[in-house]
Amino acid sequence: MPNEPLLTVTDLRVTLNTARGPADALRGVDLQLDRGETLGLIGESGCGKSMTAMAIMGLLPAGAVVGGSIRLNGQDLVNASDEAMCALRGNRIGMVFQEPMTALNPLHTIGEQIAEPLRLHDRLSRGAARAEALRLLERVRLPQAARRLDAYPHQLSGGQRQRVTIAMALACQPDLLIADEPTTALDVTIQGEILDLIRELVDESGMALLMISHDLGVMARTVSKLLVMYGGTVVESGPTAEVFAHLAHPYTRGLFAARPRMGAARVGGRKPRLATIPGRVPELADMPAGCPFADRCAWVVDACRAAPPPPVVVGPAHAAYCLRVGELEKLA
Amino acid sequence: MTAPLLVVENLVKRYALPRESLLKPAPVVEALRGVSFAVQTGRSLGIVGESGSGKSTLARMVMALEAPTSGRVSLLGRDLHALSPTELRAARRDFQMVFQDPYGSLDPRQRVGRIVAEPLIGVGATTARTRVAEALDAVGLRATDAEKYPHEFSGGQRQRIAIARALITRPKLIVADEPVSALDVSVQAQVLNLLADLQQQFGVTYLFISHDLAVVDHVCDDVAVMQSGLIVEYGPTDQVLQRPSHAYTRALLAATPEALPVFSLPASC
Repeated sequence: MPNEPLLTVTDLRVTLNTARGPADALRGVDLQLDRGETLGLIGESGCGKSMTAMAIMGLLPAGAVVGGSIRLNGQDLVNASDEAMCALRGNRIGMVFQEPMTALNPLHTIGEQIAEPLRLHDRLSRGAARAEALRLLERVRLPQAARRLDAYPHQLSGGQRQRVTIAMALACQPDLLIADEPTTALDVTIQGEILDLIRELVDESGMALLMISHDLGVMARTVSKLLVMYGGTVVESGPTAEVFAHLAHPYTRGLFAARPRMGAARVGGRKPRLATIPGRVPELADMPAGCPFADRCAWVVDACRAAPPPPVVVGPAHAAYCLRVGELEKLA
Repeated sequence: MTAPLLVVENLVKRYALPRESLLKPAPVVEALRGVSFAVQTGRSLGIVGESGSGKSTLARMVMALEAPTSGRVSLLGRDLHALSPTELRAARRDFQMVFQDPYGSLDPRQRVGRIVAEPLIGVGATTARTRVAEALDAVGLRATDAEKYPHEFSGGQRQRIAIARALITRPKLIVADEPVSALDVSVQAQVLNLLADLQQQFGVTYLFISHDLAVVDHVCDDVAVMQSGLIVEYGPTDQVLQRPSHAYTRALLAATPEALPVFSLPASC
């Protein structure tokens, strides 16, 4: 199919074995991503954003049961063998994780680690792989790249290490880059530099970016499309600017309202109280049958608890999975 | 004007690094290079800066966990680093600390009641139980939670337990080192509201260390911006964050996504 998107995830379901019995970690996630596109998965701990990425990479915990389909370049990944997934990871799919120190092997030089996927997947000679590793380190703007090729991870700062893991992820010119909280462990000024670098590399190479973060600011800066996740499902999706301008789902609204606002006026010397979302995230093992947010939602009606709500179009390419989203504009 | 609760004067801390060569003296890193400030009772001072700026070293000096190379830390007019160990132990009831990681800072093998009661010294078992119940109540937990273990709680609840442990001695000063940065946004809001309530209720003073300018803007009356062991800008929060005068403060603000136009949304959302 020539018009098939690079990545199509349809009705992705993941069931994990937990101490309390089987738990639905993902309950029907749909997403599409084309070459050159950038998509962000945003949500709080346990919403399923990292689980979605792990499912795409074939790195789910042992015993996980996967349903639905994941297709990359027309290839089915759900039923792919371990060998087939190994041939994809680090090759067609590049990965950048939160903690660069744990992602890197402390016993090997960074030059060896960047060369590894090149030797494995592209069958480059030792010398050619080393030359390419140097080019990649220069590309991710690691200062004094030639000298650093033989450095060990502990000799670099956190931001420099993250540049190295990005160089590793890019080594085989992947079609898809998955970045799971790539700047959460970094200082704010370094975070900006790394996000700009990722953006620039995506624009230049034409690969697709799947960015996972809990940080609305990181998303605003990096991705053009956004999926807001809650309780193992997508609750809102749309172009980033559109979602930010017209928050639709009650959960997305709650998430924005809970953030301290820079420069908010003081009343009697104090900032106004932050809006909070009552209750807490439901346990995976006892997720409600209907809308996962129903128990914490101020606008809940009986119908919300009956069945998962369908997507409701609220703007150009912008949808919210909420029965009452049409009325909220007037109610809020 | 009454005397300030906490006075830090010209604080310097040098650490010796491992020797690089037998023939040269060991290199020295200056974590703090002369830091001075004062905090009035019931106010909050935010310390912002990046990794390596000296924020956490400063917290350890104020908590008297480590001695400074030179300079003074005075709480209620007493130089903490000049006290005898016995005097210091007694003085510790006036200043307590809340750490960043609510998973690492609670002993997994102790019940919550024992964790929260730990800072109490010379208090009978009955009084201790009452005080634990009071402290848990103040942070929005139930008295029966004292019987549980930390793993039975979520991250936000664990941070409430850590705050209860800090509150139990009825301290004048709480040093909070990145207390909400490990928490999700909606949980962070609950904990920030709790800190504000406790300040109003008990008049506690916060020394609040954070890399998140939006959080500091929300919590703190005054802010000190640290870079390379020095305070480079200091003043009322509104003034420093809205009209920064130092280039480093401006760079920090420019890198903060919260300062992006998309976040200046209408208040109705």
